[in-house]
Amino acid sequence: MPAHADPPTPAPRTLHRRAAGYPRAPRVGRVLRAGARHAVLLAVAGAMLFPVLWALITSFKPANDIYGTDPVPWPASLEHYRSALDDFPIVRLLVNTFVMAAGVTLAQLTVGVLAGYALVRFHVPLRGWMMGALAVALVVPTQSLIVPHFLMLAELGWRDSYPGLVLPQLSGCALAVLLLHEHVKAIPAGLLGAAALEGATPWETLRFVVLPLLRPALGAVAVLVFISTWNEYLWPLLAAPSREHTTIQVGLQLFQNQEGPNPGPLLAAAMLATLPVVAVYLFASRRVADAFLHSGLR
Amino acid sequence: MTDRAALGGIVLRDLVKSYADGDRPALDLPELTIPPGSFTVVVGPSGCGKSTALRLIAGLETPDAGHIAIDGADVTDLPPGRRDLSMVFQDFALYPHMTVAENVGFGLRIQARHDRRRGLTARITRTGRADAPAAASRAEIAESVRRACALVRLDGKEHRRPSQLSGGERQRVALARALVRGPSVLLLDEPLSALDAQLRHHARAELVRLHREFGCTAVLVTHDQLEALSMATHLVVLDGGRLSQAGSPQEVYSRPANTFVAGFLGSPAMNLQPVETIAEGSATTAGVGLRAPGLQARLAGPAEPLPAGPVSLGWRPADGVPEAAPAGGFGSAAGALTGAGLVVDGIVDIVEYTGDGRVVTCRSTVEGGSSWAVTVPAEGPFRAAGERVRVRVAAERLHLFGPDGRRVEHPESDGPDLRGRDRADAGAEAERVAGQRLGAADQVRA
Repeated sequence: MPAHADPPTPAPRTLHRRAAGYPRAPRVGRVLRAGARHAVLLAVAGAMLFPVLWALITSFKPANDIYGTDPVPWPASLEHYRSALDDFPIVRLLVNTFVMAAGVTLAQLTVGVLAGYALVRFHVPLRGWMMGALAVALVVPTQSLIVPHFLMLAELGWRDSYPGLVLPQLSGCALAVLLLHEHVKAIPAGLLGAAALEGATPWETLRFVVLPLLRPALGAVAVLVFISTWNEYLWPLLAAPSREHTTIQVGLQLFQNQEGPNPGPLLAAAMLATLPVVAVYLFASRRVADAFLHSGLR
Repeated sequence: MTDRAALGGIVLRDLVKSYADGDRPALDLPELTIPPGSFTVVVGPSGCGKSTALRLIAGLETPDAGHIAIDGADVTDLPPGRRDLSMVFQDFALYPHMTVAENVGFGLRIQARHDRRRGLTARITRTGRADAPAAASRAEIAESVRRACALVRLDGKEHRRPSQLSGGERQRVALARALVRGPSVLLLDEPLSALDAQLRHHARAELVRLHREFGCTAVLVTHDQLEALSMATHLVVLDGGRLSQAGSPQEVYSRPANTFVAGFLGSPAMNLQPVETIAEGSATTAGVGLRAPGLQARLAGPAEPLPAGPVSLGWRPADGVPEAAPAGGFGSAAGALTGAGLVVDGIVDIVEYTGDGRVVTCRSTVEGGSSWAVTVPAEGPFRAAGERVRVRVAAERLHLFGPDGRRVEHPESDGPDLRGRDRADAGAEAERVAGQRLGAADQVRA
């Protein structure tokens, strides 16, 4: 480009503007602006975090101080955790929840990979309509499917069983299919062509070429589905109401309903129920963001 | 393996392929033969259907109609993996999650997997044990991969990933991957376009060398006419999904079949000028005069009657001989023409220095005349802008095109004897290749 090229076009973001050679804003203004932005962010974050934080604090307070406003739970007490673990089947509830979340994740990933791959690799009649239907399915509230699901479940005699908990939730696989389809589509077509030319069957192409390349996307979709299934409340409540088969989110009710409200153990159990999700999210938050950014679905 | 040369190469017949978004077919080839063992280059501007043709041969796309035969066998309905061909993609299509060695060996591993499975089925069902080929062992595959990597000088880089390689190295990995299975047909989809200019020149020579060693039928697709002319033993020019001309590069270059081929091949491009004809038939000199503003030409008479309508006259810039201006200035072009040939007058407009020559673009001296170019030696007299020049072109170097753009032969046209010479050359080349053929392929396959 010649030196006398047109001046850089104004870019919408400060970052770009600076890169394009614009003079920096005066120092004081910059500090003030950054400060204001951080203040807003802090306020929003605080509003979101406060209830969680307070629940955490309260769960460590002794029973007689539970309604106190002391922000420091001292002397700390583990009595609520003990009572949650001893008096309630919390381990069983957590196992149930894990089985449900893992089962739904696995099922949705399987369907998502197969559907996403097939939609890209093969000539699928009415593909446009199918993609449209998937996009529509994305906005259909799952609550509207509760009644037909429940009727089918009752007919099959699957109430209070793992299949009954897991399989109907496959109907929420539109997001997984769309996300994975985008990622399969992003794989250069040449790679699939090269594999076909080297004699690989479609299955072998999927296994040796597509799946290894999809690994980051699979991780991200797995995290998303796992977390949202873990937090599911309505379906387990209907499908598996019994103590032995229900999930932690439903089971938290037990703490309220037996001898009136019992906030201590309830909060302790809620904290325990949140731990796996927090762990998964801390481990994978970046991947989730990446998967969404790269897929074009936001 | 050695009888491969005797078979028919690649034959495309009545091939039609349309895409949903186009109103006319992307490719429409009534008949195209790619000679066995040749290095065929398919060339044309973008959108001419050359990549489509390649993908159809590979089986990556299905034709709407027509047949494709490779070495005498109809492969139209075979899946890509069973056509005994391999391909180098434009972006190389290396598997990013595999190392160089894994990339090169992928096809062999898949092959071995299929052989193992077939052997297992045969053993279980107790059928067809005799013809089930033994699956290649891991060591055999590793050895083939090592040989292929050595062939393209990739030794020592087998354990790198594609992302750790330069463009040239990636291209060589793609080549090794294509050659390791010793295919009878090698398809190359603009394999050099991703390389920088210097590397491209080197890679071109390398490709020609590898083709000579392997003796397979190679089909290369490119939009670069220079690449096409320099590499091809057989040249196919496509335009708008149709075959413009096919033949040896010399034949296509010296006897372009129509104005498209004439303008597309060669750099700088051939000068093409509409001319009007004046019958000059007399008892002694049966001939035809051609005239345009500032231009005068005479041919001894077309071999076939000139079709009615406007004709175009073409001449290559390199065939023009500039003439020094006489002391009194040029007279009229018409007066300067004695005998057959062409004389054209112009005023120097742009001079481009190319190292071993100069390309001089001139505009016509006369209102309404078109501009043209001529190449002059670099050490010749310097032509400054505004200077008047006169250029003569010998009659046998003139190309005549009818109103439909097709070539019209005239008695002096350069063709017949040259064409005969090219044929002889091509035959000798084919024999030479056949002599050396497949030595390398056998090595790798062993």
